[in-house]
Amino acid sequence: MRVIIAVLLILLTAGAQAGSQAPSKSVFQPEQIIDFAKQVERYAAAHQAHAFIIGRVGRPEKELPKGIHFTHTAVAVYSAITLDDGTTEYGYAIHNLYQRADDPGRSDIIVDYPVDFFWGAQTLKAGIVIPTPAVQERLIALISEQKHLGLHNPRYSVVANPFNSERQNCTEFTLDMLQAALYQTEDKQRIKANNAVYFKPQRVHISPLKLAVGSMVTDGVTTSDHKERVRTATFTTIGHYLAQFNLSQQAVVLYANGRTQAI
Amino acid sequence: MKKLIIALLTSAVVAQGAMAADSVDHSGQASKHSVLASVEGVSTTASVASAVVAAPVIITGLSVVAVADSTHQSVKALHARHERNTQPLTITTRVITRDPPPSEMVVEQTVNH
Repeated sequence: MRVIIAVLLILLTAGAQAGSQAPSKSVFQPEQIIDFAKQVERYAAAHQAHAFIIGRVGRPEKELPKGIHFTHTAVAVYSAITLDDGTTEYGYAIHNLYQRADDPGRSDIIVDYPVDFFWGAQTLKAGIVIPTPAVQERLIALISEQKHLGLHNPRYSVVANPFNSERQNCTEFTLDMLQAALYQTEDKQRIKANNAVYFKPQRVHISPLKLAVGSMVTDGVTTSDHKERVRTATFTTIGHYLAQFNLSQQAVVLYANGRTQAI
Repeated sequence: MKKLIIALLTSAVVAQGAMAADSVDHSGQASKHSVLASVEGVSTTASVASAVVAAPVIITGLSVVAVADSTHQSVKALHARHERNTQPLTITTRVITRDPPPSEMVVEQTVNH
């Protein structure tokens, strides 16, 4: 009995670190990540995307709950990037909500770049949703004026409820940015109200027992912001939301071999 | 009781894998910067640089315009650009990354001295 408990506790500790800490090594060779990151940039650039929704798979796909295909979502914006050598280059800067590795119940807004973004990828595939030019315009305006920072709620939960402001995850932040841009508002109450009316989140198919135990072992998991079934925003549901209201012009999964698959 | 404890611990192990998010920041990893630096050393094509700041820009026709705010004409011109121009946006061949964490900078300075 003691041996079994000890083994499970060791596994639990290892699992917690794998889930909440940035991996020390990439799964892929750096050249593969660089090539794929550039491939994603070139794809978006070929479609003249000045702003698009980007998703990555940062967990082994077999571990993902049913209906969840991407583990991290953000907004990529075509930018002039000033480098440390004083030169300026053009490419995409990615505006993320990231969970803190050392404090999983909290998050920060961080700008990184495609190689950074895909560094922890477990599968070299990218989710790409390119909104219509009109939506892109508003997203760029929101981010240029730094108004998106006011939408951030640093209290993190991996299964945050997008219908209230109690917790927020990366995908909900992305959804809130979209809503703020679409309705040209920074009123969080209005954004959440519109999420509730128009947005269909993904039901999280994990047993209540697992969720309850998960909330005991990490601050990054809580269901306290849910009253009924646990549902959260995902890359795919954001893609469906934009498509439903004719607000996207392209929605694909891009693989490292160049193949694309419509979402 | 024993069965309950084992069940709870087993659930916790499984739950960790199933729910673990991947919204954790990989950008500032010391190992990543070291690896990228080594790639730059052996590759003739990879030029790695750290970003200082990124400003959204709109390409309108032949000009690149920084977007200062939503009233900027460049933002309003985006839609028109899509209708008249089908050329891809320019993407740098350089590998751009966030600055490494402060801890790595201290190590680098120690080595350099």
